[in-house]
Amino acid sequence: MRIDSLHDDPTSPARNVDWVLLVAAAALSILGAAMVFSTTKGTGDAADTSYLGREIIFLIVSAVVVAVSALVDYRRLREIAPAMYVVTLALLAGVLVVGTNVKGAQAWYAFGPFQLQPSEPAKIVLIVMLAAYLASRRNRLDGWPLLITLVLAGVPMALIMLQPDLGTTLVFVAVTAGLLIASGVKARYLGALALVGLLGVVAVLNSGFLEGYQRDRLTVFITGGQGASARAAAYNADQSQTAISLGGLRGWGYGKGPQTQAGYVPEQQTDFIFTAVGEELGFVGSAGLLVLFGVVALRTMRSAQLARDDFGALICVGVLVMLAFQLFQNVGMTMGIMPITGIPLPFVSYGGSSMLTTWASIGLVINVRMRRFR
Amino acid sequence: MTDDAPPLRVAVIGIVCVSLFAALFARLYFLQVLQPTTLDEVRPVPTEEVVRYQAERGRILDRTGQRVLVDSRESIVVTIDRQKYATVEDKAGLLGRLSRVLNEAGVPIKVQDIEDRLVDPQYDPFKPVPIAEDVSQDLEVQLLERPFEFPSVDATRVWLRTYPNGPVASHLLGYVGAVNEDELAARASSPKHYEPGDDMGKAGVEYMFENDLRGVPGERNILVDLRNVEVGTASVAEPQSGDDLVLTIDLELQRQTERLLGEALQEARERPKRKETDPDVTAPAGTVIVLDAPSGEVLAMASNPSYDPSEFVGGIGAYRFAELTNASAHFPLLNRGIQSVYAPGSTFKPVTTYAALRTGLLDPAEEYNDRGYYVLEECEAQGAGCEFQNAGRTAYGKVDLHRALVVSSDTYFYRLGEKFSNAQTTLGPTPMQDAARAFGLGAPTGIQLPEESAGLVSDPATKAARHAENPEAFPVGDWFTGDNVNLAIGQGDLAVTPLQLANVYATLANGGRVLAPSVAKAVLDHDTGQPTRTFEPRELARVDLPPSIATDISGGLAGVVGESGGTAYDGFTGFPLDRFRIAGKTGTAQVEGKADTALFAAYGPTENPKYVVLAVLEESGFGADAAVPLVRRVFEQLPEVKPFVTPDPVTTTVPGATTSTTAAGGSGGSSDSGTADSSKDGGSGATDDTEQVEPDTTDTSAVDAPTTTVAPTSETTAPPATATTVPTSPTAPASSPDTAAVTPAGGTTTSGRRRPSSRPVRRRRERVT
Repeated sequence: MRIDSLHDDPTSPARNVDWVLLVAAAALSILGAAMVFSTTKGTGDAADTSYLGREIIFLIVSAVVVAVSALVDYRRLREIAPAMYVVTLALLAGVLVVGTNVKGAQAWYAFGPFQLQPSEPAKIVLIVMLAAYLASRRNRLDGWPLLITLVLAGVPMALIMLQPDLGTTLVFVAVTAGLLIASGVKARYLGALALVGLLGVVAVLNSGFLEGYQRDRLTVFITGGQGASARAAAYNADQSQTAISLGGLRGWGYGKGPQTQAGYVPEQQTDFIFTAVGEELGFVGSAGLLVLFGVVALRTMRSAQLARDDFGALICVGVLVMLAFQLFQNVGMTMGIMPITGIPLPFVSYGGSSMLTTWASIGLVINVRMRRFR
Repeated sequence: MTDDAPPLRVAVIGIVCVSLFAALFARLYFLQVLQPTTLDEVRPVPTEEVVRYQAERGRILDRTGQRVLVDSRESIVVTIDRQKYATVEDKAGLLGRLSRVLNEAGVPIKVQDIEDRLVDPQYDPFKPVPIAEDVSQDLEVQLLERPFEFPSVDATRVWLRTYPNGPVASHLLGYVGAVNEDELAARASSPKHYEPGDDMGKAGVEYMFENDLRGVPGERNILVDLRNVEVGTASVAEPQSGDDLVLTIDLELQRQTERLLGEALQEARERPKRKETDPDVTAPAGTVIVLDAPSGEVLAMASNPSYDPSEFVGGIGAYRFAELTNASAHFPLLNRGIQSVYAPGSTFKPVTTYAALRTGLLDPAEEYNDRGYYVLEECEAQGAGCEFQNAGRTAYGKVDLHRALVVSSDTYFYRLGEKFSNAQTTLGPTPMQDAARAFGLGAPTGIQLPEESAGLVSDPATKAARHAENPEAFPVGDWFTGDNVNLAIGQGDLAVTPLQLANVYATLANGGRVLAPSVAKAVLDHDTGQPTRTFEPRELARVDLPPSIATDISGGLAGVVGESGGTAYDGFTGFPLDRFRIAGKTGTAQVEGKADTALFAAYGPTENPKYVVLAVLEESGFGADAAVPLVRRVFEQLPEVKPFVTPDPVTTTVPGATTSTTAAGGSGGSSDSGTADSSKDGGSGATDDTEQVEPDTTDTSAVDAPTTTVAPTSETTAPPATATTVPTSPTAPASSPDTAAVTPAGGTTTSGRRRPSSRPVRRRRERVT
């Protein structure tokens, strides 16, 4: 194939790269890096650039990741999906044995200065695996196929719950539900699943399975905070809402948020980074951030509609649900409309595993869209 | 792709996503645009808190003002508050983080180590537990700035005492410990702001000069928000360091004196007994005092056994403290120089002499025929039971006052004792006691050290009072001639502290001026080094000591050291007496069932006395054997003497001579405990009562060991010695604090020192508004 003919052909993958999605996602990442610096530079004379430096390394690696995941034809993933799935299960099981424990969760593999959180790439593997399986069983999604789907999703979820990592588990729930809905499972099955899920949540909350602080974080959202850990959770929620509210329409300016710079909001470079956006950039900045996410979501949904096959479409739906759920859960948590669970804000929160996973998923969406003609 | 499948429900997902976005926008709009928060609402008026910083405690210096005896250093201590820790949810996470930052800061500690400390009963349950000492300032900042990551963890600054010379002078210096509740209450209004956990002096000059040594804590009034995070500073007052204290002691002399005392006790333990039947010489304890005679300043005060004050730094364990206050260890915390009392024995004879000469009772030139024993005149008619002996019943022949002092003739002084009794109508009932009190006995000297003992000078009035108070323990209330006879040779109800005794000789050396002994020279401002207080020599009283009397006494005392036959003569063989003449008196106090307490008090140079040196060695045998060589070696450390000391040969000769002396003494049969004599006293009459006064000490009476042969050129001479009784016994119930202070060992009074509690915490916050 000649180069010029490649350019002439309107159906060529190279002519159908979704630049809008790419730019919106890149804008979010750059904004994220800026906010990471703002929240970690410290108050001393010499700014602490260690977090920013690592974040930039993550971004550079992300560029490679997005290129690879976009350029390798996604249809080849269909064959290797089971192998990826098994490897992922092994990684999730292994981390429980040899992983590093940070803040009470056994969720990280340590590699020198960097750490890998296997539950992050597991999100993509689950999306691809379920998309592949559901796409092949679209005409008879009941009985065994449905059960197999639930088992496929349930095993990694259980392993992640053992770390324990409630937030990531909830992302898996959302992705699985979204894919089941989109792939056309009958309403009565969905209703039954929802009922079982609801009963499961109640049972989990009332059993001893959750750590005390995890339950408190979830219930403080409703009860308002009784007891020490509930008060601490309520404090977090209160502080982040206060910081966002302080931002007002225009914000205090980059690097000038009083609560942010005083370090009043815990975990503000990771899970609570949206508070820094809210306080320093105000409604203008944080609504702008939501708009950028809206662009990413719209372009992803559009890719799902344009996809040439159900597999590609379901991949896009999975990515959409994953991003949308994380966004809503994370931002909603900082604004007090969702309970507090440890979920990073895609593109923006500090952290390599989350960043690489998010960009890999964007690569897949671009992949599906650019190959919609052949 | 399967063609018969229904279309994907992407739109449903889309609708859900749109509604989620809408919810986020709505909430964001509400928070930031409709109901924005202002900073004033977020941060209510901060609470003011007082944070106190301990000031550095003043140093303690020796008399040169250059050599540091006690210093302070600052240490940053990481602590965990156990009460707060109990409420921490993620304990494993906290300890993991803490051990990680500690390791990063160079403190090797494992989570297990921290957990062990948290349950260690050694630490006060209501005080933060120290996790790591001497951490860096960076770590301190790191921990204090992140109270959320490190709940219940604090980094506090403490000042710790350091002792550059180890245990030297520990009894004088004392130690510091955490202030207890009573002490805290007593200092509630102190401008130096004591708080629980603060250190204060607990013994020695650390205790006596607490107000000078302690600095004024610094204060920061900080503003904190609701999370207790510092948001500003209202006011700051820097800590003011405590003042330095300059002592009178000379570090080098103190060090050498302590060394020599320890060696002398060791030698005493190894020396063979004079007689097989003698009690074992255990030499468990002793004391040496060196006074500067013209000023009363203490140049050295050694007490053995000793302790290391650094053991008290940061709190001493209960077990270790019990060891230090245990009788089997012979009370190492006790400063025997001022807290123990002993029978002075023959070292008291100069006071008896003074009383006899001053009252005109005695003609110093009159000769008395010492037959080796003395029978009271008043019961010669009855014929028996009234005999008092020299040691070994040795007869000295014709002795005048001078010779009686030189050879330590007890019979000469027994006779004086009876003469005082017979002259009651003209001299009053207590001429000897009056003299003793004039020389400062029976009352604390007032030295700037805590818990000084007063000693005891008994007279007819005190004896009667004691009997009236407790007739069972003291069945006899009358004062008999026998009491006077005993008192004349420094026995009976007479107990002195070594410092009091040293001061008696200082008074003799000073021509009658009784000075208050002092350990402190000055207090210096910490910053400028200028004295804020100085301690000048303080004359307490003046003994009326006419030159003729002074000459009679000092001449006799000089003879003890310098004349052939003198009880300290052999011990000073080879000493440069021609350049530095020394006067002194030996004493040997007998203790029931135990070896004698050895004493020697001396001053010199005799022409213009500058130094007084006293040694008291418990259960160490004859004063001449044990105490004289020790005092001599201390004299040899003095700058006036040191250049003229012949090196090694002399110092090695002394123990050698002592050993051979012992052998000669044994063969001479010159020493005896006089038990048989006491039994003879068990008849009727006045002396009988005398013995009954001390029912448990009837076996211990005084006898003087005469020097039967004097061979100045020979190293083997008979042992000169005096033997005296000790006033109380182990089973005698105490009726007064003074007698209670006397213990059978020749005087170990225990002092109930406060137990310092565990590690102090010096910085704490106190909510004031």
